[in-house]
Parts: sequence; C-alpha cells; structure tokens
Amino acid sequence: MKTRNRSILLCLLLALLLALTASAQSVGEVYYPRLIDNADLLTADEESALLARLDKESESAQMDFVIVTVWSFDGKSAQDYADDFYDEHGYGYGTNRDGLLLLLGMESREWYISTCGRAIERFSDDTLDAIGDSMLPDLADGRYAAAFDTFVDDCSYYANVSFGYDDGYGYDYDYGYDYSYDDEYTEGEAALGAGFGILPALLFGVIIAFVVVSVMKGQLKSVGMRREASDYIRQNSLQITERSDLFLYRNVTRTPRQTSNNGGGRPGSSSHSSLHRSMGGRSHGGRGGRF
Amino acid sequence: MSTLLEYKCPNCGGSVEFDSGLQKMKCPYCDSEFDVESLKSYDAELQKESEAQNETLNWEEMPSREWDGEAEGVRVYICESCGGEIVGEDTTAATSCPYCGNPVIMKGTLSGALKPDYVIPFQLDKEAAKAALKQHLKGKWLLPKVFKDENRIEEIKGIYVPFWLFDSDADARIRFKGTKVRHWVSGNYNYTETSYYSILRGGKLRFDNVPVDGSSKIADDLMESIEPFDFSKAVDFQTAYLSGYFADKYDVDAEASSVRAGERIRTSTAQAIASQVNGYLSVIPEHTDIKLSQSRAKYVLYPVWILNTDWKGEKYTFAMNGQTGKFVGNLPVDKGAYWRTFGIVAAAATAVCYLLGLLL
Repeated sequence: MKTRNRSILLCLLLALLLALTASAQSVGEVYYPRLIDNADLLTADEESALLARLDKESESAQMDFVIVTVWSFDGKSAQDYADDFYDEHGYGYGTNRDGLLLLLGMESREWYISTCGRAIERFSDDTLDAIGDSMLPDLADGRYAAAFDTFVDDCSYYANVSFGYDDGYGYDYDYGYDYSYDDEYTEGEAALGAGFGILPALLFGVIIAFVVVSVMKGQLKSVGMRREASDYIRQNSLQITERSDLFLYRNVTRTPRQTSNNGGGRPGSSSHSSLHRSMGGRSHGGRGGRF
Repeated sequence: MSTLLEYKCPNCGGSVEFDSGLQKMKCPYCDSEFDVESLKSYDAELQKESEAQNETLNWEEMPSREWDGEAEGVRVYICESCGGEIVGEDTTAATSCPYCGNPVIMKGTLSGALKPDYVIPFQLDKEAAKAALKQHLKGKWLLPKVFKDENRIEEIKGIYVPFWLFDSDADARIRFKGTKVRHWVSGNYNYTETSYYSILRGGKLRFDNVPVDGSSKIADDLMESIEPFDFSKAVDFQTAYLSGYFADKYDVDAEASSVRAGERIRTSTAQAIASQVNGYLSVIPEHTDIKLSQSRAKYVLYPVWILNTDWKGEKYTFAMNGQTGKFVGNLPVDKGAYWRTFGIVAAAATAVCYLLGLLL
C-alpha cells in the first residue's frame, strides 16, 4: 500500500516536471506576430514588409522587436498597457524575455516603448528618448511606415553596438550604468577626461580660499553703521492689524524636455534605465511621449 | 556764577571722582567714599555757595577777545584748584585741568535746557578697557604680527557721549508682490506655473530709546557699533557722575538726530512686517507706508571708553561700551599674510576637490 502510494506520487511529480519543462521551452517561442496593427495605420504591403524586417532583426539581435498600434489603452496608462501586452502575449527571448515593444495609442496620440530582460540595460532612458526623438517627425506627420522603419533601424543599431565590458544581467532597481563605446573611447580621450577635472577643482579651490580669507579679513573690521533698530523694539509690541493675500494671475510656461543624445558615446557620459514592475510581476524599463 | 564745578572732598579738600567699581564717589587722596545720592544735597549746597560768591567771582570768566575770529567756539576757564587756564571747546562739559590734573566740570554746558535727562554711569574702568584691547587683538589671523607689540596706546579717555534717545510708535502698511511656483512634467514638456499674489500686511510696533550720537566730534559709526546700551540701568542725571571723566554736550540737535533714528526705525519696522509674509518663493515690497507717531526725544549721556593708538604713523581708534564692555575698532590687514593664506588654502582646497573628483 505504501509503495503504491509512493509510486503514484513519483509519477505525479514526474508529470509535473515534464509539464514545467514543456512550458519553459514554450517561453522562447513567439506565438503572436511581432507587428499588431489594430489601429490600421499601415497598408497590407507595408505590413508584410515591416513584419519581415522585424522578424529578421529580432532573430539576429536575439531579442524581440514588437510594434503594436491600438486606438485606446482601455483606461490604462500607456506604460501599463505596453507592459501587460508584452507579458500577456509572451514576447521575448529566453527566460528573461529579452525584447522591447513600441506601442502607439491613436486616441491620445501617445507612444511608449517598454523594454524587458536584456533590452532594459541595452536601451537606457536616454537611448529610448533618442529613438523617440528620431521617430517623432514622421509620427507627427502621419508617415507611420517611415517612423516604424526608423524604429527598427534604431533598435538593431543599439542592440548590436558592442559595449566596453561584458554586460551581464546584474542590473538592479535605480542602478545607473556607465556605458562607454569601445570604438570611440581611446586612451587619449581617457587622459583628457582625467585632466578635465583639474580646472573645476582649481575653480572650487580659489572660491573656497577667497571665502576663507574674506572671513578672516572680516574679523578685522568691527566698525560700521547699523541699518536697523531691532534691539529697541518693545517686546511683543508687534500687532498685525491687516492681513490679506490676494491671488492676481498665473503664468504657465513650457520647455521641451532635455533628452541627451547618447549616440556620441562620449567618455564619462552615463545612462540610466529606470525600472518598474508590470502587473505580472515582471521588470520592465521604458519611455514614452506624445506625437 | 561759577562756570567750573569741582567736587571737593569734605574730609581733605582734594577733588573727588566717580569710581565705576564702587559706583560711588571716591577721594583719590584720602580714600573717603560717599554716595552719589548724598551728593545731591552737597551739589545743591555748592550751587548756593557759588551763587553767593557770584559777584566776586564774575571776573573769572576771561573776556576772550584775543581768541575771537581766530578760533570761534573756544572758551577759557580758570581752574579753581590751581588757577591755571583751561582752554576748552564750547561743547566741553567735563575735562581735567592740564596743570594740576584735577577733574573739572563746566556747569554752563550742562544746566538749564542743556541738562541731560539721564546718565548711565561708567561700569567698567580704564584697566578693563586696556584688557579688552588685548582681547580684541587675539585670534585675528591676518593682523600683522608686530601690531600687538608695537601698537602704543596714545590716549585712553572715558567720555560721556551725548545721545538722543527716541521713542516712537510705528504704524506700517506694506503691500508686497509674492510668487509661488509649481513644476510638473507632461508629455515631452516641462511645465512651470508661476502664480502672482498681492499681499497686504498692516501692523503696529513700538520702539523705545533708539539712540543717536549727538556729538559731531565722535564718529557715528563707532558709536553705533558699540550699541546696545541697557537703558534700564540709567539714572537721573547728576553732575557728580562726570567727575573724573570727560563729557561733551550735544552739538547736533534733537531734530537733526531724529532723521537718523527714523531711518533705522523704518527699516526695522519693514523687516518685522515682512517676517509676517510666509509661504512664497519670492516676496518684493511694492508699496511701503510707515507712519511714526508719539515720538519723544530724551537727552542722555552714555559712558564710552575711547582708545587712540598709533602704529607706523597711522592712528587707530577703538571704542568700548562703558556699560557692557563691547569693544570695537578696525585693525590693519597684513597684505603678505593675506595672499599667503589665500595661496595655501586655494592649493589645499584644489587638491582635495581634485582627489574627490577622481574618487567619484
């Protein structure tokens, strides 16, 4: 009796293990196309051409590049919608689900790029802003096919740029990465970068010294006219008899957000990927904006 | 009428002086001490006596014809102790005889309408002033090292300086323009919203005993630097307090002095009202209306030690509050030490900044 029970339990465990490995294998496969044009922005020809490009670049970069267009976000934020869409449709390579998704919402004219897995560190906030900036003119003018082409170009470029160090998976929340591009970061620039610090240091040094000697010099001067007579105010004699705060008007000014161009790969320029968690509990990076 | 006043010791006839340590009159010859209060009657007695001698003493005031034109405002007195001539300015109220050293008080400059209302007697003596000067020279990095040794005290004088004290009610109504700023981010833009407010504050404030130096001979900035004096320690004026010290009568009248008091009262009132405006990023007064009312002036003598010193042909003047001991006076800067310190600190700070920069 006991041995039979044990063998049944063993069989059940085995079955469970098989089911788990099967589902783990299925994670790497793509069930949905990498282009879902629900807002119907592209012609059939454009769609097939774009999908072919997405598939090709995704294969070579070993991470999924996905484009999704919708009319509205069903009351969610662009970020949540993009993250959930990515998770629910099973995009991404490997167990970390490497890949990124560009979402367009036509009702609010918003774009959002959600990154996952290896793509989070590859595509820092600055990089994503740069991609957004390069698409923006075409998006704003309704040339969606051109905008998506630019997107695929940018994705394959940033995904294949080689970094100066082995980029593993050691990222953490709110962790800044210092990326330096191998091909542009030379020894000469490194020396220049180190020498660059002496001028600001000298400036600080002179300012601090000036403050110190000014304080010392100030000790020697003790004679001067007084501007006020606060020593002679009778204690607690201040009575406020009138008090009114009247709102007059307000001014609102707006300035374009600063997006630093990461393409130059200057020594010492740092990039940072901000992280958040989707409903499914998976970590995503991402940026978005309007067009 | 006698123009000079000397307090003669009832015991030995020597000239008595006010002693700041005892806060009593003391005879330097026979060490007799007696109360200032008891001198009130003694003072009155002297007045009577001198008035009785009025006719016979009339000639004592010299017809100073030979000084006329050449030096106006100069008066000549005869010392009652030794008969020597004392040349004083017409503002001099108390001094000492250059021949016998006895303290003398010119009665005419401090009586009648010119009589001060109050006096704060000296609390600190000459030794305290010398010690304060030594203390004043300590811990000053850029003071020339030899100044302490070579700096000679030329003159040290306890002076009762005439002050006008002003009491006033200030009634202020100030309109400010204030801003509040809010930032937020939406889409590709940073938004900045600036809200403008008109803020009105009205209030009343009472000032007591704002002092203004009533002597044009003593630097105003020096006197304002040793403020404040504690007026609650002031006593009714008695000429006896002046014995042994120098004193001047005012030569800037109350009306002229009130301008300066008004300036300071207005500034303080505006500050007090502005402190009632909170919660704004920037506040700029747009319209200020301050009325001063119920203003009253008092004439008082405040105790001040003046020290004149000499170093490398330059004169340095120091002043000490004879009541609180607050000591002020500008000192010379050692140029070499100034640049040396600048260089050392700059080099050290640069090195530290540079190393910090490498670590970060």
